[in-house]
Amino acid sequence: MNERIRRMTALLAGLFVILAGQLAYLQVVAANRLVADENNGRALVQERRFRRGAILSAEGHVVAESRASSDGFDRRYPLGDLFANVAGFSSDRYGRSGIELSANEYLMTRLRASSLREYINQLAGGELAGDDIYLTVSERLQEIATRALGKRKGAVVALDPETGDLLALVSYPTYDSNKIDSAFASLRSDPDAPLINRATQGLYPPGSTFKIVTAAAALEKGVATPGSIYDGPAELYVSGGKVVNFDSQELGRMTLDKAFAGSVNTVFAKIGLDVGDDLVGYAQRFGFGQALPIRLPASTSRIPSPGEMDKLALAWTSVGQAQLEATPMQMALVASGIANKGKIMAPRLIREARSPEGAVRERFAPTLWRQAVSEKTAKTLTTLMADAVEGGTGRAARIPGVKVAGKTGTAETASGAPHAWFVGFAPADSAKIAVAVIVENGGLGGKTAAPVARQVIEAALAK
Amino acid sequence: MSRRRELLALIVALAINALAFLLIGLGKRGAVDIAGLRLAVYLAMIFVALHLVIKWRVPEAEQVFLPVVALLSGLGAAAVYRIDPALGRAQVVWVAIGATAAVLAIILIRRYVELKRYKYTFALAGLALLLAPIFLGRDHYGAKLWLQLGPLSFQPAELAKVFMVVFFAAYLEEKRELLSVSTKRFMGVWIPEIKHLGPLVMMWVVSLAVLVFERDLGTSLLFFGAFLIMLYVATGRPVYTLIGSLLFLAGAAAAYSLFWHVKVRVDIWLNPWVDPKGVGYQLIQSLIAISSGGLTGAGLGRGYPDFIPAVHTDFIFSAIAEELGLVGALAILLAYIILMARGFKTALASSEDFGKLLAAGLTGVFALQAAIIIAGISRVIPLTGITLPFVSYGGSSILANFILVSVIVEISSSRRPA
Repeated sequence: MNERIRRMTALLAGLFVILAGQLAYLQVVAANRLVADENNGRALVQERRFRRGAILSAEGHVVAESRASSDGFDRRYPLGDLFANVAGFSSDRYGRSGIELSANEYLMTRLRASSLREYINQLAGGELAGDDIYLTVSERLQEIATRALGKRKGAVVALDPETGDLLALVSYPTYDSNKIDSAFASLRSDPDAPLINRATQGLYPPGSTFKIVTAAAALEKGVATPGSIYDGPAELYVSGGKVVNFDSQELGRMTLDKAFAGSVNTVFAKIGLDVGDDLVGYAQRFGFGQALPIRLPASTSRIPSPGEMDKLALAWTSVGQAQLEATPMQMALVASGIANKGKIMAPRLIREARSPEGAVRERFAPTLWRQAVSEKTAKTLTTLMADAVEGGTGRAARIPGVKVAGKTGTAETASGAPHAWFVGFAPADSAKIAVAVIVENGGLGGKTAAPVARQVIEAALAK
Repeated sequence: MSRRRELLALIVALAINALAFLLIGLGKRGAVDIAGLRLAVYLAMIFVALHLVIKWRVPEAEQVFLPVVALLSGLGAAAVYRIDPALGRAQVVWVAIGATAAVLAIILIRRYVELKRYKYTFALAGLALLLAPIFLGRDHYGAKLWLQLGPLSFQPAELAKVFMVVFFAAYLEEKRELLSVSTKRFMGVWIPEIKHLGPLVMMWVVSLAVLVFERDLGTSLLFFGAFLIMLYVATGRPVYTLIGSLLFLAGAAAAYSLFWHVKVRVDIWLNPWVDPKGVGYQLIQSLIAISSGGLTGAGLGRGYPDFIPAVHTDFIFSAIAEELGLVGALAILLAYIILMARGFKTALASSEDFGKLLAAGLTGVFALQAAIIIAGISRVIPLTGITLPFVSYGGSSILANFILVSVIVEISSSRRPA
């Protein structure tokens, strides 16, 4: 009987060996595949149990934070809709957007203890918390810019030309990040597209604000100087059509700086034709056709390639119309390049990431994006832009005691009133802020957009 | 015998249990859980008392059983406590009741051979317990294997397995000579007289009745398997095992085509992903949980057992495998292998046939039960709802397995002829 008992021992031991093999298969060989199975609900629960890092404004005010609730953490946005287009949302149902998405790796960072104390805290099973994100955007300026734009569809971008720090980034209409779960469906189907960040994603004809680029191209190429004299007819005939002045005004002979201040289309169409196909390359140096280096969803501004344009299209492109499209962010960067000696800094939204204990995990240094024009050209354009505000179309942006440089735009649209633009910076000689404002179908840039820019600039310089 | 080895190993097992309760508190809430540690202390008191009783009554007994049972019960109670603290406390109470039953068994059964005298009583009691749910049971997870006695619900099959093994051991010891003799040849193999096949046929009928009327594939498989193991050990005739296996397969195949609940179980096993949110949900969640553990586990208290329905009973091993990883899962398997090896060693060392058969049968049914449920939750075989001995939550299971092991302990203490 003993022999049979031994055989039975071996048989049952064999069963356990099979089980050990199956466990090794499940836990090692097939583990990745099974853990990635769509029926695995761990990731979602895990994230809810994890205290996601907070997002803070430049002043250190809470923009987004996780608050403990009975079944994990709930994401709250104390400033409501003020930062929605920057911070975005983090929802169990609808995923993430904005900084919540692009800085997720920091907000969800863990098990990367930076000090012995944190390490011990983690070993002891302490609360798992992600890093906090400190934005460059100021709550104060964001609020002032939001109020200045009011309930008009459009966008405001304000940045520091020297560092690329975004100081304000406003898009209207917007939404309340707290209510995303209940409102998402209606927000998505809303024809006014409140989920679109107009400041970085909205593509508009830049209108006369593009004359900064056209003028820069002419100065860089050496086909014009500020004193160059042009004819300013009401209509400029180009093969296949004509370029017309605003209100079809006949303006006579004038210098380039006067044409810039008065935003004369026929002169800039002539200048664009003088620059020729090279205009495209100069626009690209400002960032047209290049993906924006920004931690938000952004559209790439578009200028047609030389092959796509005949003379008439080139003439219209030179005054910011035709197939030309630009985001408000792109036009703010054009202004910041002029303000910063021709250097465009990459727009920076996040200053640093800090551990929950306050230790700096990572600092995001300002980086140069591109050299748009020479320092000399930048200086010349600064003068042109300062004159345009002082005595030209941008007079509504004047601030007593501060030299503001800028350019208005009144961009024709396929339907409805033109879009009102203003791009500029101040103080002209040592700029602290560059702005771009667009009011959709707002009419004259000098009348609608320039006052918005003035309020933002004034507030930024007053602090 | 001094039984120092038992005490030392027991202290190690109890320390591991206490560590498990400590880590669960830290892993789950980041704090030391005093209530959990108190349970670990109660468990330690229970097992030290059991050690003293063994030292007093059966000092010659095998020393490995108690520490391994303490380890499994402690880890089981910790795993149940981690899933639901109230159930964890209840489980410790059940361990205390099981240990009390073990003490009673050790004290009352002076000589295990006396059990032989009551073999028909055990047979009747075993059959009654096994078949009672057909008439009196209530449905639970689609299987009818619970009896409701006032406020207590009871799973009679657990106790029935001990009774039936005692009966088989006594019966087979008596009849093994007869059963071993072959007088007829059938299709080239010697087969015994048809009348001696009676018990085999009876167990087959009982097993199929359990399968069909109680919808309990696990218990059915367990009883018939244990019976075949004992039949083989007793007679040394593989033909019984062969005939028995064929009979069971034929019965199971018929059940598969006739009864939807058997078919569903098998279909889930073949491909759970056909209906991942419906019938396949439980098994898929079990597989994902096991896989999530990886090599070293998520850490105690840091897994997600709540995704698996019935995790505290049938699926407790999946929860443990997630939090302790392959390393911990293999350690548990090893604990069962050690218990099994020592149980069969007891059978080998026993000086007479009833002791051999009883120890082999109890060990076999115990090892088979552990293997069947682990194989079920890891998709080696179709899932069957039975408990993992000493680890799953459940009073009937804890009680029956304490009695089972104490009978083996009893046999191991009387190696010389009784």
